[in-house]
Amino acid sequence: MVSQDENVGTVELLLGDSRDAATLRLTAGDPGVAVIRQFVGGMAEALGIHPAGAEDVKLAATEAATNALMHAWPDGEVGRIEVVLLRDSGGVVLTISDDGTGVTGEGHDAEIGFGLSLIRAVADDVDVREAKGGGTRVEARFRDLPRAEAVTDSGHSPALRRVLAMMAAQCGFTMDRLSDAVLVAETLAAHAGAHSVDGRVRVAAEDGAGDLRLLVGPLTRGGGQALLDESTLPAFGGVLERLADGVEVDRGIGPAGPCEYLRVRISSRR
Amino acid sequence: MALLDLNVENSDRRARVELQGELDISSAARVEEQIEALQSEGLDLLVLDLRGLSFMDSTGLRLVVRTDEAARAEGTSFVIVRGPEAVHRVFEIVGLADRLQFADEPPV
Repeated sequence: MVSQDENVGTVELLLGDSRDAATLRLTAGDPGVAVIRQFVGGMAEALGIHPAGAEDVKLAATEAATNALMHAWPDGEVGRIEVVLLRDSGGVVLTISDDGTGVTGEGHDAEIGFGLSLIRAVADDVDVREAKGGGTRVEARFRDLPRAEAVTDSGHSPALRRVLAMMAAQCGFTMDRLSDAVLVAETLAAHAGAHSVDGRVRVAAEDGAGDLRLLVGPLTRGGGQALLDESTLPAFGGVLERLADGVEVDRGIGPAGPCEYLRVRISSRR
Repeated sequence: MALLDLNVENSDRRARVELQGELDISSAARVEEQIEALQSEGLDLLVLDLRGLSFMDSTGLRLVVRTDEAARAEGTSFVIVRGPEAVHRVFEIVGLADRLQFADEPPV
């Protein structure tokens, strides 16, 4: 077991330029498993999957992540877990990788048997192998998940909203502040892609000391201010400035040269 | 915030442990400690009420299997009040639904 810490740690969300794919990377710790389920639930909502189908993917994701938490790292070491959910012509593919020491889990002991049995029962194809650079990679394909009755085109908003809401709930946000955090998440999901260096929404979130701190970007130069300017509601003003406890634009150097990052801090209570 | 609420009723060597929320690796240890504490007092009947659970995974299965083994060893009746479909199917998938004692309501 890796971390008994109450904090979720650092969570990075990388949302594709279409809503068909998204990546979540997080500190390997027990509280993160609930965050993974929210990510999967949000992506399932975005992809128009029926909640009963989402339950299958959540169970598989939980089992793969739990397996990593129990066996991937020696006691006292903390690693990272990556969750990728995407849809292609053959259905929905969930991939969970860790950067641990590469125990595949197959036949490891009877206890892992339960976890793999559950993944095999809910998914159509399951592949467990060594991840690039060590660690274990579990890929589960769901060919025929039931469709939701009504699908609203909300883009990536559900995944970001649910992940941030779960982190906020786990670090003790009051109900008022939780709904503020949700509104911040929806605002970022709606507008950040237009100012990102590559059209993708990237948000890193960290909890600690009752705060949620977000880092949005890399954004284009001028993108930070433009994102703030666009995030206004009639008769309300700038959503991010009004709801967050701290907003600032930072200059940085990204993979493709100078860029900007937007830093947003939301406190658990006011 | 805890994602799992735990309620315990215990009198006259009969205990009921009621779980509400999500049972996974982040919450199982707390449940197991509680159950072990009850079992160490000596029980005639232990009821694990899963009706309020919205999620349970293999961590929950392992907890139930260990509890069942300890109950058998001590001669305690162990009854699980069936959870919703998403929870109960986890027992069914691994073939435990027929090997454990389930009830729809807590025994009086």
